[in-house]
Amino acid sequence: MSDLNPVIHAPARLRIMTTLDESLADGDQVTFPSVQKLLGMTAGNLTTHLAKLEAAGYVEVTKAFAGRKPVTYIALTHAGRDAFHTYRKDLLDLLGGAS
Amino acid sequence: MNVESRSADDSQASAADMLALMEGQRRSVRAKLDRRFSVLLVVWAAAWAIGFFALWSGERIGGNPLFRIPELTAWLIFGSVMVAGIVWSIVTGILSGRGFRGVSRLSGALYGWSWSVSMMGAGLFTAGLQREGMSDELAALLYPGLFVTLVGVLYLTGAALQRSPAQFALGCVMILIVVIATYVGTPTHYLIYATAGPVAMLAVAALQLRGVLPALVEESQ
Repeated sequence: MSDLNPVIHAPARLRIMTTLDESLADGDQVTFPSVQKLLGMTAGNLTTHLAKLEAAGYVEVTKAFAGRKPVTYIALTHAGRDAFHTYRKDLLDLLGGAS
Repeated sequence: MNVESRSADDSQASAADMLALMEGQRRSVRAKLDRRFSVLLVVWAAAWAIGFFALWSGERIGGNPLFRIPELTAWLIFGSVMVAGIVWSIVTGILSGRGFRGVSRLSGALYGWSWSVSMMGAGLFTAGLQREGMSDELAALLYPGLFVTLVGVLYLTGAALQRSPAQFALGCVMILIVVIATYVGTPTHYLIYATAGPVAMLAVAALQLRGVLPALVEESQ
């Protein structure tokens, strides 16, 4: 049985990775409030989990300005997308192996 | 039950929970992202139902056995609801990019503009044909036929852009409706456009709102 990636194998982080994989194409970025809205998470909770995903190299957090207003953008890295797809495959293999 | 097999069971239960969580989240995101487009489909369904029903009820051009309205009024109603639909599409396209930036934003904007450019082009093209002496009977088939074919083609393109098999199916249905309506001929073709098109659009909108029409999931890894 293959080990499931522990960085993704946590409900909050799995939801974040699923959301980013579903909503972003390669090279796309999404603002922090938009991700928060898609997830229905508190800002603090989202920040905590994004920091773990960023430390693993799965997401990239960029600070920018829209006029004078600071905006935080989030992107899914290639490594992040690969890791998510591998996790999904491992999960399906694990469940398939159970039958 | 020994410890090892119990641990394996726990791991499998957890895996099933995580898969369900992933699927639930994916549907939720899809439904939220597609909500504007679902509303747009409802708007277009209403525009088609009203516009083509007006043409079917127009004096001289229609086939409604119950009542008739002046031909000019019928065309004005049709034109107004189509323009309203195009304006709604443009606004939807502009708003849909909010909160996102990157390559998809540009492709989304270009796709949005392709609707207005192709519709205006089609209108001018058919007007040019009429100027060259195309008969009213042929124009009655060509105008809606060309317009709906373009809608179908734009859905097919949108499907490729958004990796959406559902949208592709809707595009195929639109083109099929044109073929059937044109072979049935005037004035019943207006009734076909007023009913079959909106039904297909409302069906897709309802499924999209429930998040059950997924974009194609990449399974390559």
